[in-house]
Amino acid sequence: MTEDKKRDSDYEEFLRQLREEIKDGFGAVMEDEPQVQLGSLDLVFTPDSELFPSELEEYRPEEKKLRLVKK
Amino acid sequence: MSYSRSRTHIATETKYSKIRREVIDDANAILPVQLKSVVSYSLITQKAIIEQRSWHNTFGRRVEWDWERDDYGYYHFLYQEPKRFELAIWWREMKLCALSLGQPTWSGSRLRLDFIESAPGDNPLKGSTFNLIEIAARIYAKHIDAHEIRLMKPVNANVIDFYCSKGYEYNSRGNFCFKVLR
Repeated sequence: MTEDKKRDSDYEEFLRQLREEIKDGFGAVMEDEPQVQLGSLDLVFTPDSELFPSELEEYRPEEKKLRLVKK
Repeated sequence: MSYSRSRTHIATETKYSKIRREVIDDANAILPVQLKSVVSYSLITQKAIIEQRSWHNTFGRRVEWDWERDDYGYYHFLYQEPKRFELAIWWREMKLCALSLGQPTWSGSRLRLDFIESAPGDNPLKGSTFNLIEIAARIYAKHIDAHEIRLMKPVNANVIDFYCSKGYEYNSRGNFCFKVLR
């Protein structure tokens, strides 16, 4: 079997396994799924921001101003 | 704004554009039957860019940032990152439910997801969007022979816990959650 055919065969098997893994769906809907994940931005929050309630206190409570800081 | 691109950049963009289209096709093809009629993947098209504008100032949106920015948003990736991973997820091909952007690490052995956002407010796929994004990310990782997915800078401990519940581990030194792929 050529290298390309072996790679195609391996890829097809990967897709087959992935299809099998998800065929019944994803189970229960994840209620706590985060709305946003912005890993490449340095984000600064304020404790009194309406956007982020209690989790702000454990993140950066010392910040004064809500702003978006480009990395 | 004009961007001059080298021949190498153009060749890489062409190669990875083909990969991105194949990822979209394969991700759509393997969706479970119950989702196939209502859920679809696409690249981040102009339609997706226009649709995400309605996310601004929507109640429930966690951070006001701009996907259209050309210094850190989609257009930065479009013009500067030819190996980018990009994804839009739709409900009935009409409602934009999620967007994601990422890129391989420098060595190419890992795929990092830098941006993931579910449509705020009324979102029929709320609670499932990460699973859907991860499917496409795994297919893309397979295409580029990456053996790990990284979720960069999870914003707080709850988000870390969420990803850990999906089989990721947290690397505190690098501040990312990672999953080694089989």
